[in-house]
Amino acid sequence: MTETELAAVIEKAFDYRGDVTVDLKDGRQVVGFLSNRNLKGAEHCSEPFIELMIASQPELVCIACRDIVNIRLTGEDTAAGKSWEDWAAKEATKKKTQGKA
Amino acid sequence: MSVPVSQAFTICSYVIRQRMKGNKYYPLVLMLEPLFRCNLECAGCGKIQYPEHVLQRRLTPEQCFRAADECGAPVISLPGGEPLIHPEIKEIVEGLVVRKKYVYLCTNALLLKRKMGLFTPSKYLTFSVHLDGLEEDHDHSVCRDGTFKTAVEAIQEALKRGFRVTTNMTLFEGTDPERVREFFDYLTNLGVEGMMLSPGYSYTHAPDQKHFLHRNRTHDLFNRILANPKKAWQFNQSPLFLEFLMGHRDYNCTPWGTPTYNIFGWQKPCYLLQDGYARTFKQMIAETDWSRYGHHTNNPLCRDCMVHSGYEPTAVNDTFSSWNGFLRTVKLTLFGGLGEGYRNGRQAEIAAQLAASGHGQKPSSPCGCGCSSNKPQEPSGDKK
Repeated sequence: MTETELAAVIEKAFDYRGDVTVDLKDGRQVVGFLSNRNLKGAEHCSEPFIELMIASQPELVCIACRDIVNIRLTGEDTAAGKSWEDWAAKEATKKKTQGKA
Repeated sequence: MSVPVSQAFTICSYVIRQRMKGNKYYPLVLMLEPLFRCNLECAGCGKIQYPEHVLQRRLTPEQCFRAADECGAPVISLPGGEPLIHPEIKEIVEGLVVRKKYVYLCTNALLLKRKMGLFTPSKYLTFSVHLDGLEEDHDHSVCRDGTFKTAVEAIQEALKRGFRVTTNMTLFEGTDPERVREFFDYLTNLGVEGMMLSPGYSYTHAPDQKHFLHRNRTHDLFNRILANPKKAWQFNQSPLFLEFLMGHRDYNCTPWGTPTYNIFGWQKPCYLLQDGYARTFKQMIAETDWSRYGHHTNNPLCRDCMVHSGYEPTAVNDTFSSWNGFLRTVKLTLFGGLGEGYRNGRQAEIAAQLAASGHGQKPSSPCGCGCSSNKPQEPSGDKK
């Protein structure tokens, strides 16, 4: 995966409202919610990194982008079907059904 | 004026101190989100759309105090999620009050009556109850019947016990201005200290003509609501911000004015957008490219935003950066006069002035009522 491709994958995972699985170069996999990405680096990590919130760990886990092979959207998307439009459509159907009954 | 003199003085002196220090990036209100979990599930609310293990997390009181000390804002808003769910909310509020911070505990008030006993009435503590309108409108907005009645009962009880109570309301396209005015009368009779308004935030639509109309419709809607305000109505916000909502002033956003801290860290760049996080307040200020955000940047994410978290700090800054702003604020606060431009038939002139300044003013929609079938998303933090 090129640097640009990886950046796109990271961005997609960052926008995702569910857990992701990060495949690392050493063969390990890390599962968690991708809460942050910084492709410039910051004070606590001078190179590009992502941050994950992992269910079993109290602190955020920081992973350098150079260690990442791929990121997969593996958890349930908690935003799916929960927009205002979805709710309004459901309500309309409910009312219609109630009207018929 | 709907805030105590001591609060107004604290904010005034804080802003003057920051300006004298030459500090451009000073925070006014810290949005401290102690948790994301909520006991309501409002459609489209981005705050609660997280995996279960994220919703289970909470800031500790110590983390809250560290954030408050780090940024130094004189006012702290505790939104969420629903902060009353937090098992240590009593400790959090007490610790912030000890620091002499003016705390606005933002709640849907479903648990308020039950948990009110945890708190002591103080000039530093205000319950800011979320109410989006009269019973039918509010219950529809939060997707659950009975919510309005519960909240009103809690407000009455809180007022009886001597607490400061304000309300916060989000207005969406399609809102009936007359019903909003009725709602203001209702809240005024209820005895709340002040009301806070903000337009709903929508950025998911394509940046097209409709977008511009959206902003213009916001002006129309607020003009119709506020052009002839009743003297008894009290608003818990800058009168210049209300004039901005009415389209009588052109402001750019001050996203650093209301920094947000939550379980992920310091949110970049503002309360609504999530463009990443920083470990410290200083890092957040330094790492964020502020030139990318705000209405005047033509960033499609910001183009239609007129939300209080970004523009109220601009209004406050305006009050203290020019005699014009200062005198206008004093006049509106002491003598009223909100919406006089609209009443005097100057709306076309005002629109032309704003258009000449190049900030997206287009002709009003034919009916001018702001009607639309699309309810934008709640101003509650979708990921970028």
